[in-house]
Amino acid sequence: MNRLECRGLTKQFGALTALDDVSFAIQPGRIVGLLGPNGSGKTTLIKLATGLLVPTEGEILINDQAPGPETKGMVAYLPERPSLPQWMTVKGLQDFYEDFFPDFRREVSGEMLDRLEISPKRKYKQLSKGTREKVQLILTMSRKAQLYLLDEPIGGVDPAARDYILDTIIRGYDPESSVILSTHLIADIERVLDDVIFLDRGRLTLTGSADQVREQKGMSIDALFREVYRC
Amino acid sequence: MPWEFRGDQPIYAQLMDQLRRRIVSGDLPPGARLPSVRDLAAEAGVNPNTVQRALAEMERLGLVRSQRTAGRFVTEDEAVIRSLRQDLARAQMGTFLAGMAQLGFRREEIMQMLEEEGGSL
Amino acid sequence: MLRKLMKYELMATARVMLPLYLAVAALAAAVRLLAVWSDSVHFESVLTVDPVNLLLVLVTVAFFVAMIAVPIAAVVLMVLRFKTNLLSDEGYVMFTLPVSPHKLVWSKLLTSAVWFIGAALVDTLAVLILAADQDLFQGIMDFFRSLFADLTAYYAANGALVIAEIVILVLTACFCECLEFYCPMAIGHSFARHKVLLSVVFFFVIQAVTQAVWVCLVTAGVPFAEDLGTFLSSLSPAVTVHGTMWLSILFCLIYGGVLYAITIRMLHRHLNLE
Repeated sequence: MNRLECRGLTKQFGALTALDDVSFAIQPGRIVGLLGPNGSGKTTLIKLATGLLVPTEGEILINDQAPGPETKGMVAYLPERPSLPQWMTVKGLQDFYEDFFPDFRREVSGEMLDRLEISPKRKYKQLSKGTREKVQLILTMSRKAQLYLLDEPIGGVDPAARDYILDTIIRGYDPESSVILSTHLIADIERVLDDVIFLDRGRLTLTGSADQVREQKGMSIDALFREVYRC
Repeated sequence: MPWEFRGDQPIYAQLMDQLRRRIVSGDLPPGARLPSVRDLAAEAGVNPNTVQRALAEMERLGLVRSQRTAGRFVTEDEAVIRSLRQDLARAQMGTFLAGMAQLGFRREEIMQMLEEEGGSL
Repeated sequence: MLRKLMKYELMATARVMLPLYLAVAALAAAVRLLAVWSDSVHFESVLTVDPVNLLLVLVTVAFFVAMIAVPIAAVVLMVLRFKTNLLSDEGYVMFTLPVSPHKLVWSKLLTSAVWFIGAALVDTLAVLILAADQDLFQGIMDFFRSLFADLTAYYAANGALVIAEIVILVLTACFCECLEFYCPMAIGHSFARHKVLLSVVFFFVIQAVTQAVWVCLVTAGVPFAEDLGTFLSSLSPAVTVHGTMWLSILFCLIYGGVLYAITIRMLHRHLNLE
């Protein structure tokens, strides 16, 4: 059973076509890079998978199910911007995640918060933007989900934080789970990817294993990306 | 030795190469226990499946053996390590000689320089 | 899941409402005490103004402001919560929780109803604190007892049932009140730009449409007015009372139901978080 599958997925916003007839499947245990320039449809695709948007045509399936309350329980979503309720303390947020997500592992989140010296008593809105992003990342990755959808997890983040994020993803690896990372900063993350999916103006232009692409094209994914999307 | 990767070659191949170097250099002595796939992946900053593939390939080549629950270990077969050492040395020399030839050096010059520079080894 | 959603919704809103409730009750007590004090104390002072009396006046003004502020705060808070929690950044988390949009909306409707009713109760309590004495209490009890008896005797209506109907009507009205705001907000925020402006616009559009529907219904009913009048007076008082109640509840349900359906559809299919 595929963790995520798209069949002829199309999404239009009025006259604008954000995604055009996209089809692919992702199996369990893969770390996949959803790559493309800004506006290529990466966020739209992720929002469709999380159920925040509904398709105009075609379908998107998580574990062979259409997005709904059940699939939302299987998917751990990290949005592009910090979006946790502002008024809670960090501990309150842990309670929140524990309440709604049976797959949330509180001890793991506690360890990670400890290591970053973030006190559970702090109020979320008092934290700096970078720390807020880390808290949201920690809470998301502390879930033992079947599919992780990370929307631009390393954009606008300092190199040390970026390494921490990638390290968290690697250490969290589970052969039953899949991770989809969307980004336009490819050089930083390509070593972590199993597979790559290139999107260009809503269309799928390339899919394949990262190493295979490197062998075939004789260049890094980043170099290939720059070449393909050269203005 | 820090982990260095180039983007334009398959990562699993580079990983194998770096592990071979560590075995030959003694960083990973004969019989040493390799870190788990997860730890190795985190240390090198690469995908765990890639690590798995590299280690599986090295097992196939006899450089590494796995013991079911205990993990993976560097081979204790001295002959295999010696042969690997030779292979890596030859490859290194090949690169060196090709580079020197490109600079226009002839055999005698190279030998003389080696005599002089060799003192610093 | 609904209970969990309500738990967090109540926690988020209690931080604002409970201090306000406390303030109203405290001010009522303060007014009462100051009034007593003012009566029993007379200042022989150089000042032309009696300080205790002045304080009493100020506190009384504050009390009235607070009494009005509490229900207004409840409404404003209801609107703001919907926007902040569902239609802004927090929506990214709320709409990816493993719950249906129905539960999200209902948690807000129920919580808002709690604070609306609470506001009414607190204001009533404040008035009681202010003015209550043995006689007043007795007077109120007597009043309600006779009302009950009258209802039951004259209208042959079941007093307890009427109370239940009032409760249901109040609740339904609270939900409708909320939905009158939620619906236009959900529509307005489905657009990419001018979200707040469009929400306000749609609020008035919905109000206008509702008024228009009412006018149509009434005008359509005019030819039947006489027949309707004859029919109504033929009914027994009990049926009139209960009938009126249930008819009102029905209208609220229909109105609220339409608004609810539109709201859910907007949130489910046309959510446009920035």
